[in-house]
Amino acid sequence: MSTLEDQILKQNIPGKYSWWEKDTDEAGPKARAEWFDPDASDPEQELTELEKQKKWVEADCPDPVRRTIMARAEKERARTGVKGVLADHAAYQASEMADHQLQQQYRAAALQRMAGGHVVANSAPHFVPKTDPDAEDGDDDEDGDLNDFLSEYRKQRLLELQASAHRPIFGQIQEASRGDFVEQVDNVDPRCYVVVHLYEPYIKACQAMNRHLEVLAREYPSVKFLRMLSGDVSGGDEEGYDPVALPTLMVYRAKEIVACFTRVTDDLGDTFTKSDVEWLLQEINIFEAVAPQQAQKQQGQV
Amino acid sequence: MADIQERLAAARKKAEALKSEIAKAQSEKKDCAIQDAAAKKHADLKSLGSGLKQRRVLKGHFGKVYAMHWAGDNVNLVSASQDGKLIIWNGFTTNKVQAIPLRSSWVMTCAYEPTQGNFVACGGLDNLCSIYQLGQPQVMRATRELAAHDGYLSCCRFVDQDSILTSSGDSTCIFWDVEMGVAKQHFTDHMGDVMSVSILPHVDKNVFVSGSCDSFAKVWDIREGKCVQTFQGHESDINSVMFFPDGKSFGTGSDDSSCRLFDMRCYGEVNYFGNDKILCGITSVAFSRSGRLLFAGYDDYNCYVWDVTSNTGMPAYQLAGHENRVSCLGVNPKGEALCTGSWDTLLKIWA
Repeated sequence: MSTLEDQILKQNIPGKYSWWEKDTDEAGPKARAEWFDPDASDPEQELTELEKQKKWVEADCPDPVRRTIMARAEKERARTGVKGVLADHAAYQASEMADHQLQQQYRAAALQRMAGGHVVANSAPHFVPKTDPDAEDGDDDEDGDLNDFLSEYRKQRLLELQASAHRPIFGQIQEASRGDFVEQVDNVDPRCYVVVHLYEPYIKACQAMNRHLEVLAREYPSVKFLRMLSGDVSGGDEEGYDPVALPTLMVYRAKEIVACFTRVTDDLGDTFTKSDVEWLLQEINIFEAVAPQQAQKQQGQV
Repeated sequence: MADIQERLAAARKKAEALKSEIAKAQSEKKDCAIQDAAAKKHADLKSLGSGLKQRRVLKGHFGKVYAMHWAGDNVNLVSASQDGKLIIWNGFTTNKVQAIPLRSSWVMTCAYEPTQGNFVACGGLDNLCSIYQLGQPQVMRATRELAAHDGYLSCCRFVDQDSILTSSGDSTCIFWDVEMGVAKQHFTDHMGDVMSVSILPHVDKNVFVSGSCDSFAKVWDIREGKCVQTFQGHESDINSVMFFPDGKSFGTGSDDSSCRLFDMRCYGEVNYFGNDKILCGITSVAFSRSGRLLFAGYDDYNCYVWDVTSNTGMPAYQLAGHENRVSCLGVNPKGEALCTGSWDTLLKIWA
């Protein structure tokens, strides 16, 4: 048996082999007998401490370790020992707090939306709050992502709020009649598009179109959707609107007509879907100026 | 009246001379620098042996290893991890003897009872010192929970089966009666969080040393509950203290990136281990059996071995084997093996 001192201080003492020694040890790393200069260019040393740590964290490390290390690495010089535990705990609490705040923001946003008087389909955030650090499986730099996401989200929310402050919100398809048609089309924000559907309830394509427009109206609350019975077009004594041209879609902006699609079924086929209508309207870029959140969703759907 | 004036003058004179007298007394005690004394008797560490090798790897934790402590039998050891478990290892065979789930995973320290080896203790942010009895089929609950600290438990060390010493972030240390579960003595002179305590029960059961964030190390008498010596010198928090094996001096590791050796006989610092290349703090220190070598775990990936007798500012050895920061280390009582615990979830044994 030999002590650590014998190992270090004395050489080749016959019969003095470490009790701990065993044949399989040879591969293990040895203590380096010389002091290395941190400035010398050792390839291992060229990596900064943080990089080394990142490398290791990316390679393989248990989840709880990774989480606390990554949460702390960027913010402060990490420590070990008692202060390390304190720092880990602080990092854990901070991430809990961030989760909590994010959750609250989502809740506030949802309330805002409800108070705004329209319900956006599929708008419930697909965010599951993390409560148990050991149960979740996170991304490598999840806390970084979280922060990025938080600031991104704030920006986006701000844009949304600004946009909705300036633009009228519709969210529903409205019925127009000959009497108020001009008013309905003209008395809107000049940046808003107005989509008018001329229909007859007995035409199947018109019924489908109305259903699709209802959904679209919810999805794009900044676009005004109107519908009008084609029978209303004529003043009564004049010749009525030709049902052959139904369903007809007209798009106005700033009191001017932008596009007019007659007999939409020619373009879209008899069994057209909501996304077909969306595509048709997108052709003239009416959804271009919508808020980013809807824009994203729109990308997902098209 | 004149009498009083004379006495005052004499007292003033004495007071003025006091400082130089103390300095003189100190320099008399400090008759020789440690490295000079060493140079006369010992060879330099230049002709070194093959050095330490990594002999064992203890795998089993799923989180950072926060603390470890050897048992008195030189083979077993206990480690505490972020995964909320204490594991009792047989270091020699690398087998896990027992795993103890903790109520709080924010554990900062663990300790093995050195004389009988029937108990382990741990503590952390729960402000409790929990004591577990070993050798039961399933340890699910603490045998004792010692509650009196108002801050986190930074360090605990058994004196014997019946008593334990704890240090805390509430800047106090407490000496406990384990059997009764009550505090027997409070030690309250520190001005900052106490980070570490060290006691050598087989040398002197009544004296312990503590290191604190107020940058002072204090030596205490347990019987009186008083601080008997205060050592200054460190420029920042002292994270770790460890008695020299003879119990008359002690080593410290600090955030000012130096380790120092203080001697209680000369009331002062006798050696300094550090250089301007080392910038990170030290979180754990340990001595070899005779005290010639000082092992120090640094905040970065390093673990350096210092020759206690030299002050060249160059570590004698560097232990590099962990993939991440070394968070704790300890030498077993016989001085045969060094164990390091790391954030990479492993413990490694060097011999």
